[in-house]
Amino acid sequence: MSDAIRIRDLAWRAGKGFAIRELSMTVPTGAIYGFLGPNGSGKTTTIRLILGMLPPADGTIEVLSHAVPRLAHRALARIGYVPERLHLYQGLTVDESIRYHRAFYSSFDATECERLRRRFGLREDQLVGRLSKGEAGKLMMMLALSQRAELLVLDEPTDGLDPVIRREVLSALVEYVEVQRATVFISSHLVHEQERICDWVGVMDGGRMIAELPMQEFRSGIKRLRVAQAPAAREAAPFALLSREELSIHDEEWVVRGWQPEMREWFQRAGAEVREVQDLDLEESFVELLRGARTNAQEVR
Amino acid sequence: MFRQILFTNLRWTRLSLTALSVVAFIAPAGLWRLANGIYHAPQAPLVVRDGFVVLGPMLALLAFVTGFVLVAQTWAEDSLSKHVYALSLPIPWSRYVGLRFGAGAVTLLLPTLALWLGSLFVLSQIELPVMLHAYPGTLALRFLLGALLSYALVFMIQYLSGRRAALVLLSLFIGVIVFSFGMAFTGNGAALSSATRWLLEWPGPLAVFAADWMLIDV
Repeated sequence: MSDAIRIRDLAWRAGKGFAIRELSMTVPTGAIYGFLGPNGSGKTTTIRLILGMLPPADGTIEVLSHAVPRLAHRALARIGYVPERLHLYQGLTVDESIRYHRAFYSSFDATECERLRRRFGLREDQLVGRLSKGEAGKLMMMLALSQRAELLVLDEPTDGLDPVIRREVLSALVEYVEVQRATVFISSHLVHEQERICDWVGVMDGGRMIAELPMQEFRSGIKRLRVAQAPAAREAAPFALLSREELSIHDEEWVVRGWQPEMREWFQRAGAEVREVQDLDLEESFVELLRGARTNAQEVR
Repeated sequence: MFRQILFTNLRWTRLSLTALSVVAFIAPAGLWRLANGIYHAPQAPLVVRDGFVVLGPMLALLAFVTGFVLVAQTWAEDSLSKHVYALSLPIPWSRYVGLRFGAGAVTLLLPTLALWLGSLFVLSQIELPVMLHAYPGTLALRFLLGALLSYALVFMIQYLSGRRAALVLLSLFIGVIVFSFGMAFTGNGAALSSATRWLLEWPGPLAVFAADWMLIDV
């Protein structure tokens, strides 16, 4: 089975400022892919490139086996999209928005839409422009789920929503994925939310993809080590060193990615000793990953 | 799909469309009253005709405003979300723009219809001076063409991507500046008059606005 999204060496530039550089990414079909990154890291721009809204300067994008942006409209017929901010027409009512949206999607399930509308407590005659942020989020999610899409692209879908609404939206999403076996590409900077639902993670910072790995590996593969007599060089290390910090004359704290217990031997061969291995929670892992990537980028410069 | 796009166009422009249609409906009566003199006494045919010659451009202006307002309002709604919704729909952008253009063009029929009905109403209420004839159909058709031309020009500039629109406007601006400087230095008005003729005389691009907007003529 082909990948739902496949990006190779993508480049894009906005004037002299922000740029996406050498971005490669693979979202396996059926995965729930968490797209993590701090604000301004390029997540929304990447999503717009994936949907064909922006033309790439270089590289290739393939979505549901369609080359984007050339055949973006064919891919979009099978994609449910929920952007970060309300994108629907504010002068229409909820009911009018449903009818408008429905006209463009042959797979639109009106019965499911009505069920979701009742579940989310949205009134048909409510004007979209007068919806609260939570209601607007629910409306966009309702429309995307009613399309019976094979791929859901969600850009910070729960950002700014209160916990009750966030739970409602996420549970509807999880239900949908269970029934439809859809692929989900969900961008967020809320790390704990991603941890609950995602099985793949991509981390972006400063327009670059700094890590892409299965959630299990992300969750368990990043460790904080207390190392005695730490070696100066880290060449040929079987793990990725994200950061190192001196604690005392003899001890250092290392944060590493891809750690396995048998890697203690590498330290022993270098005359060092791993005294303690600490698990990091997902948020700490995320922060360390970003810190490591930024340090590496500075060293390269 | 087209029906829904047309619906949104009507929904967004309903107030201005109503206002423009009302103005278009009462315009023929207003023009007749002005052309015929404020005393509502039948004047000599040539006086009435001359009145329409003078006042006719007001209808051209109304046609231009109608096209402009309807595009501007549609554009405003679409650009509220920076066109994200339109771009996320599963149709090529060119088709979307075509549908939006078509829907807008259909809405122009309402003020045109109002003008035609207004003209018929006025004609049913008055007795035409001898030698004069009424042309309500021609006037309505001219109004539709004028509104459509203004609509198409504004639509083209607004729905082009930002850079292309800026390029078109910049080219027009530079063209006007160069032309004005050329005129100032040479002191020759022939170039200006020939350019004006090219624009406004048939088959010039703006000829419809310069034509005779006559409800009543010989």
